[in-house]
Parts: sequence; structure tokens; C-alpha cells
Amino acid sequence: MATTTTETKMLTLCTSDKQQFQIEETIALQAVTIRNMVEDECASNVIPLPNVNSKIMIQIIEYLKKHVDSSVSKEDMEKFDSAFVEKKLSEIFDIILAANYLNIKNLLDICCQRVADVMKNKSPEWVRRTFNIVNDFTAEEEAKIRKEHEWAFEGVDED
Amino acid sequence: MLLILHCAMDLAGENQSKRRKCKLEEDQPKNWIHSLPHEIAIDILSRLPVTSLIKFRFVSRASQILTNDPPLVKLHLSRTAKDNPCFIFHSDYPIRNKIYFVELSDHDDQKEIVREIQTPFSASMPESIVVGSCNGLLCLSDDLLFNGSLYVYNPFTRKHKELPKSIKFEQQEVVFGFGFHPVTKEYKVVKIIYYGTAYNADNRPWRYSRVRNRDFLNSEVQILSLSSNTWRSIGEVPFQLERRSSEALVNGRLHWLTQWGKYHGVLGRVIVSFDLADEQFREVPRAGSGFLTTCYFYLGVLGGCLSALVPLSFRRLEIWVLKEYDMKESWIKEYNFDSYMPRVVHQDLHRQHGIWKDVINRKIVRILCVMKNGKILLEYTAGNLISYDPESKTFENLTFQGMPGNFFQTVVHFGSLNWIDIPPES
Repeated sequence: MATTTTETKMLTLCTSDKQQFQIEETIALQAVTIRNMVEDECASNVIPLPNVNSKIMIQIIEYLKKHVDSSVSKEDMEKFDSAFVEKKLSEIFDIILAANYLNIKNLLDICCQRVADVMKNKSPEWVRRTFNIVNDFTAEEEAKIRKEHEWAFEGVDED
Repeated sequence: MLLILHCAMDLAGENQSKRRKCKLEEDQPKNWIHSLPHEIAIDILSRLPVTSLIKFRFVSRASQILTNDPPLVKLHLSRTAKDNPCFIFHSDYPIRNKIYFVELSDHDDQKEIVREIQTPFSASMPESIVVGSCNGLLCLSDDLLFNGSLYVYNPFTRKHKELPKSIKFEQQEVVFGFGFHPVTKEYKVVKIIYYGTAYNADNRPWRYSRVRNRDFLNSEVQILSLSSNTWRSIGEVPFQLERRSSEALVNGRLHWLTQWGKYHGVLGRVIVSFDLADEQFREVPRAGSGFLTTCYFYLGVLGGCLSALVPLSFRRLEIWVLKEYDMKESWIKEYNFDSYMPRVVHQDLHRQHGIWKDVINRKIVRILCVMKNGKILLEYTAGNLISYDPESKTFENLTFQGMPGNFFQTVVHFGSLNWIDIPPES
């Protein structure tokens, strides 16, 4: 591996689709899974990440690069985070799975919060449609639920 | 539950995820919530306000099973419920069993809508008061009018449990407490019964007497632990408490105010605590400045601390907070309201509630809660909700769409899916 002119130590990450990403070690070590691999010295020059594809890896590196920078103010970091999660839900879910595998707690946190924020005050129908969940209640069960929890079906947010 | 776990593991498996990556572009997300690892699904759901969580329950059977998972209930209670209080409005029109709620938010838009909750046991308990709210559970009683029915009830899940009846005296006055001790992890109902030598001045049967001389000098304290479900007597209470349910549960202790009297040689009132673990009554140490000798004050909880709201006149209020429990030096005058008092919407200060009036409406003002944004919510007489911003020192009347016209009790309630068989984490 070629190194830069500075003393910065670099790591190479290899995604599931065999793309290689060369990033500074300090950035990569924010992911606990990578840190453990490096500390256990079970990683050679190239760290294989079979559960993350390159499309998601690019976004995760963008996140890690920002978060390693200690000069960013708390306010700016919050702004960055809230802009970062403005993505399609399917993408957020993929980032959640990757952040869970790589063990990046903050990233997992903001993505879980994002999904929760989207789900807030939505009707059961909206949730079924968006997350592709089949309604397996019988008509009688559904009628009973509606009767007992009338409030839950009033005034939900527009889809 | 097994089904979901199996499904999550299956889809998170390497082969599946590779296949998903290839198809990602053209596919809609596939049953995402249920295909996530179980602990992540729980993490996401635990961030939802209770009303959204209930709506999620009605999505499918698997959703319903997921929301019954004790780790989710516990995480939701500790993470989200405590920051998202609801108000429960107990309405007395046409009878005293209508329960409404509104979920509060930090936004100032007051767009929240009050909704009615159907109580599943209203047929067997036509009239009631809320004795207390703890960990998402309400304790309801009809003791003052009827034959001592008591229910523990989660108004959001509709789970409820009728508690056994305890002894009843011919002439009695009852003071309740309901709470949970974080160490013993037990819910207990405390029923303090004052009974005895009441007599009528006009010699008519007691119930019909217009002149009542109350002299309930005898007392008996009954305890019911929800895990044992039987009442036990622990003897007398050495204090004459104000006949109101406990207003403050702090450190596993319920708190009441005594009636006006001479304590330690000084006229005033004493704050009495009852420890739900060792079942002892204790006096809460007095504040050095002596606000306890003012004619009337009210207990509450602010930011987890025992607090006392002291009305000095209709326009002046102080709020004292016991910062460190057991340290009387830590009573601090935290707020001092002496400027503008909001317009009182409901002018019927002398509204008659018969026997209920004594229990609930003797209060002029009470502390409801403090919001995440620092605003303090108060109730003036029954039904005037007011928010106070300590930063700008301004008051604001709180009104919500759909608020019932007649309600006699506002209860701060942290809505949760909790039930008594799921002890919360300490």
C-alpha cells in the first residue's frame, strides 16, 4: 500500500462487492468492529467487510470523516447529522444494518431516530404500505380494535 | 416471537443480504421493521411516543407481538415515556368516568388534540377518581361513593386489574397512595382510613345530616402489594393527613401534607413520607426558611425532586424544591412568580362537587410537571392549565382542541405499554 507523504496511517477496507477504500486509520477506528480487528491483529493490510456494499460504505465514510473532526462544533455536527439522515427509508435501513455490523453507535442512533420520526403519528395503513407489512388481522379483529381504540384512528398525519 | 427472531436472523444472513443488495435498486423495502435484527427493531420502536406505538400494534399480528416484548416496554418507559408526558383529563359529565388524554409536546403550537379513551370496566365502576399514576399505570378508586372498588389500569393498552376490596368502616375518610419502589420493584396501594367518632349535630342519620362534625381520630393503614394481591393492616398512622391522594412519589416514597396543626410546638403543616419498601411513615425535614408554616401549600414533583408550591396571595407564588432528599438545607426557592397571573378561564371557583370537592378541588393551584424545554405546567383551580416560562417569566394559558368542557381532575401520566408484571429498570 502506498502511503501519503505525511505519517498518517492508512487502512484499506474491502466491501462485499470487492471495492477497496483507503482511509485514514483514525477515521476507520471509530467503527468498533474495525478497531477490534486491528487491535486483535487479525486484520492484514486489507480489512474485508462482507456485510457492507460500496454504495453504503461511501456514505458511512462521509459520516465518519465528519465525526472524527474535533473542530466541528456541537451545533454544526447536529446540523450535519440531521442532513445526513435525509435519505430514502430503504437507504436508512441499509445504513442501519451496516452501522450495526460495524458497531458505530452514534450512526445507528441517528438512523433509528430517523425511522422513528418518520413513523410518528402515522396510521397503521401507512406503516403497512411503507414497510410492506401484510395486515393479517381478520375483519372482526380489526373492527374490535377500531372500536376499542377509536382515538388511535383519528387525526393521524396525512400520508 | 420465535417467528420474528427466526425471520430476522434469516434475512440478516449473508446470502440473503447479498441477494438483497443486488435487488435493492428495483425493490421496495421488504417488511423492513420485522426483518431488522430484533434489538434494532426494539430500538426504533422505543423512540415512538406511546400513541404511535399503539398505532403500530394494529399493523399486524407480528407487530402486536413485538410491542408486547418486555425489553421494548422497559426501554420505551425509560427512554421516551419520561420525556413525553400526557395529561389525563377526568371528566364529570355526564358521570365521572369519562377519561380523555392529550399527549404534550415541546412545540408551542398547541396543536395537540384531546381524545377520549374507552374504559373497559366502566360498567362495573361507573364513577371514580384517579388515585395516582405511576410507570404508565393509573390507579382508580370509587371508594368515596361506593363500595371500595379499585382498579389498576393502563389506559393505552386497556389492560386492567380489579384489586380486592379492603375493610370498610361505617363512617370513614380515606387517603390513598399508589406507587412503585425501584429497589423492591413492587407496586403498592396504600389506603389510610380515618374512622371513628363522627356524630351529627342535628341527630339525623349520618348520611343525610346537613351538619357534619368530623372527628375521625382513629386510623388504620392498609397496604396492598400488587404481587401478593391481599390487603394487610400495618396499624395506625400518627398524622392527620389532608384528605387527598399522595401527590408526589420520590425515591420510592409517597408524600402527603398533614392538616393544619401544632407540630414541634409550631403551628403549620408537616410533609409526611411513606417508604414503599420499609413501610414506615416519616416526617420530611423542614426547610430552614419555614415555608411550612404558611397556611397552605401543595406538593408536587419537579425534575424528580420533591417540591412545594406555596401560594402567598392569588398573584404571588413560590416553588420550593428539595434538591437533595434527606437534606433539609437543600430546600431551595427555585421559582418566584410575582408578576403577571394569567386570566382564569373557568371562573367557577366554587363549583360544587359534593364529596369530591373536598378531595380534589380544595386546591387553588398545583404543579403538574416541567417540560423538556424548561417550561413549568400548572393548574389553577380545576381546569385552568397554565404554562410558565422561567426564562422570559411569562405565563400562557394552555388550551387543547377537544378539551372536555367539564373535567375535575388533571393527572400527569407518562404513557407506556407497561404492565405490573414488567418491573421497570431502576
